Order: sequence, then structure tokens, then C-alpha cells
Amino acid sequence: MLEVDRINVSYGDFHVLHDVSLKVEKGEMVAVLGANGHGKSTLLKALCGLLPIQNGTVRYEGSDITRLASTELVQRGLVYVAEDRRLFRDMTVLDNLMLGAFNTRAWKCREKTLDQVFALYPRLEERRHQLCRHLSGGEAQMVALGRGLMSKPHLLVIDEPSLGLAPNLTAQMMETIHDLNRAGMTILLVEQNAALLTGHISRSYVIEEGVIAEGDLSAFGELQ
Amino acid sequence: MNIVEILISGTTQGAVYCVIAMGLSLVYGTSRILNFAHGALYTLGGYIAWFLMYGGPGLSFGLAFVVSLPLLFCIGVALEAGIIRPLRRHANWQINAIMVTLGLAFVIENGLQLLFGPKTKTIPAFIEGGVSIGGTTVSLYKIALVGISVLLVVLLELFLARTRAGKSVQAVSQDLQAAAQVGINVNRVFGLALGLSVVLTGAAGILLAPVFQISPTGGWSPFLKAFVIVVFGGLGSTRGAMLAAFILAFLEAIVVASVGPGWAMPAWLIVLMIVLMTRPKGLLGVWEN
Repeated sequence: MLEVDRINVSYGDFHVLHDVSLKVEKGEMVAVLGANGHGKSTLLKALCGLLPIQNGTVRYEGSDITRLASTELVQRGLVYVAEDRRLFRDMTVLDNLMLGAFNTRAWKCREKTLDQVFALYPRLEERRHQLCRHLSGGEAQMVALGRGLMSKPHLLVIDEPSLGLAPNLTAQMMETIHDLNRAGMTILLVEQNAALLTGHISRSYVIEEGVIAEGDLSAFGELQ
Repeated sequence: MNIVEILISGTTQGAVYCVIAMGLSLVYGTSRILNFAHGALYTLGGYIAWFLMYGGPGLSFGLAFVVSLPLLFCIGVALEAGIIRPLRRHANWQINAIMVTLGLAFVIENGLQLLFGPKTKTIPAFIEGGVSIGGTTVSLYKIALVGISVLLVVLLELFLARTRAGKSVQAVSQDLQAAAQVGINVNRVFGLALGLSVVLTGAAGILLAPVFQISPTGGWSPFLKAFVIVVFGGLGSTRGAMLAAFILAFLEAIVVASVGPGWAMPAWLIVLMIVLMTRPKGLLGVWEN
């Protein structure tokens, strides 16, 4: 579904990703593991059209998307959920969710998707008229994921879902993501807390100083 | 000092300032551009309407006004795509954008001077007559001016709050990356914002033509005022700009009636300084400066 072939990405003069390749098959839940500052978020942002890719290619659902902007990628179902939530803080929960359905494909069925998101997170339905700046960390993460779901993703790309959540909430969040995967959604996520992923993921990669290697959780344990 | 006169003057000026300042604020809020050509585009609006009425097509005022608006919108969209967007790829683009829009202001001014000459043009008031309010005669033109200004502001607010496109403008102004993330085409939103902004300032230029006349350099005073209003109200907040427009318009009316017209701008700047000292982001500002 997603094939990344030797991409290079820089932040200004700083060369962050070196010839990174990875693959995600339809229906998989794949994790990229790595410590902070090793290029995990850069990788995801580049894949989702939020950072330019210097060279290499990214293929998604059979076509080359290396140079496509996020607008086009979201339209095609490649959806990014940011680690720092990135909610519209002065808008209500409902407005945030509805903006998730901004692409024309998702817009047509937004009411139905909204019901599904509210079924998943009844808490969001209760708080739908609250401004996002007044939400707790856990609720904000629900909105972030809910907004991603509103975009009707084929491949949901999640940047460190556990960041800033209490331990009991992180396990729940991972369970929710795994449920989405079981229901047929392909998922690519990054995490630095490898222990959280045990029993949930199909495969994993390890990224270290911008270089990626096929790996498993135990290998990552040794790295740390 | 006549209270009724002050109320009338404050309301009229406030409504028009609102229209001009909200346009400036809208563009700053979405694309972080301080558009120094905002005043020149106000003037351009006046000239476009004048041309449509007396320069050939011979339209009525109402028709000229209605035809001008989509023209102004297209000018804004074209300016964004043609001269602002290419800047955005480089570092320090915000400073560059200020310089470029400042240059644009002079290009527009000189262009208008070449085309229409340095002499002022006038558009007669589109409604004659007046009504008496509390012993003071108010021209119907001023009442219409307030009515149209309020209508423009309400339409803008409804557009921003209720429509899908309006929400995308709000989204871009709150978080650019998040807007891109949900699939909003941010370049299109920048174009839309500048288009609407030029419509607002150009419309004000047309509506005020009967009072201030139209001259190539006539846009600097409204620009400066809009600038003070926007900083006072809080950069990027259209509601703040609205509130500030009326506060400063009433202040102006009081100062003009009690001290003299030359003191209006100094009074504005003193109030602005006091507000910024106690509240650096302005009345309803979104960002710290």
C-alpha cells in the first residue's frame, strides 16, 4: 500500500533522513521505533506531504506521491495525526472534527462518520461544544484521533499517540488504534515507548540517526 | 459639543473603519502578511467605480458598486498568487512581503495617476436628502453608509462562522500545519483571504468617495487608521478590529468636536500606546506580538 524507497529529507541545512526505505502492506499495523530526535516525526510528515522530500520515491496505492501536497494526499486517504495534537484550539470539538472531513470524499458522509467517532468516544459527544483549548490531554488526543478518522483514512499515520498521556490512557489509546486496525484500517505509527506496542503491531522498523533498519521490539530494547 | 452629532459621527465612521480594518486583519490573521498596499487598494476601489460610472460604461452607482466587488476579489486573488506566494518559499518572507506590498502601493498610486491624472475625482452621494434625529439633520447617505457597512461586516462574519470555506479560513489562521493536515489547500485560503480583503477595502473606497473624493494618494490616511485599529484590536482578530473601530471612531468624534480635527490621530496613538503597554496583544489579540 505504501512503499518508501530511499528518501532523503532535510530541515533547512540539517540532513535528517538518509536513504530511508520502508513498506506497509494493506491491513498491517506497522510501527517505526526510535528515540527522540532521530527523525521519526520528520519521516511521517514527509510521507504525508507536510515536508518536502529531496530525493527518493514514495508510492501509495500504486502511484507516485513523492511530490504531492497534503491536500491531494488527504483526498486519497493518506491521513496524518500529529504528536502534538495540532487541534484548532479556539474552535469547538465539533468544528475540529468537521474540519477533519474537509476533503470532498469525506465531506459527503461526514454526519455518518461523526456518529461513528461519537460511538467510539462518547466523551467527545458530551463535550462537542467545548473549545479545544479547555480540553484535558486525554480528551485532546481523542479529538486528534477523531479528526483523523473524520478524514476517512485508508492509511492512518499516527505520530506518537502516547505522548503526554497518563499510563492508563496510553494502553487504552493503543487498544483503540489496534481495534481500528482489526476493523480493516491500515496503520503506520511511530513510538518511542516500545513496551506499549507489544501484542499490537504486525511489524516494526527501528530508526536511528535518520537511518532505518527492519527490526523488532526486542532489538529496540537492546538499542536503549 | 452636541452629543447627537458625536453619536452620529462615531457610528458612521466606526462602521466604515470596521470594513477597512477587518480586511486588513483578515489577511494578517490568515497569511501573516501586513499588507501595506491596503490603502492603495482602497483607492483603487474608488477609481474602478468612478471609471464604471463616468469613464465609459456609464453605469449607475448601484450597478458600478456591485460590478466592482467581483473585480476587486479577482485582483486580490491575482496579487496573492502573483506576488505574495513566490515570496513564501524563502526565509524572511514576511519582511519581504512588507517591502513588496509597500512597493505595490506606489505602483498602484502611480498607475492611477498616469491613467486618471492627479486631479481628484468625485462620485456624488447616491441618495439625497436627510432626516432629523434629535434636532440634528442626518443625511440619508450617511445612514445608507452605515447600513451597507454593517451588512458587509455581518456577511463576512457569517461567511467565516457558518460556511465550509469560512471555517477553512479560520483553521488556517489558528494553525497552518493542522489546516494542511486535514487537507485544506492553504494557498487557496490565502488567495481567498486577500480577495475578500480587497473587496472590503475597495468597497469602503467606493462608499466614501462622495465624502473624501478620490485621489491617487488618498489611501494612506485610511490605511494608517486601519493599521492602528488592527493593532489596537489585536492583530489577527476580526472581532477585535470591529470593537476597536468603534471605540476609536467615537474617540475621534469626541476629540474632533472638543479639541479639533488635527488632534484625532494623536489621541488614537496615545490610546494605542496605553492599551499596548497594559495588554501587548491588543484588545482581543490572538497572538503575542
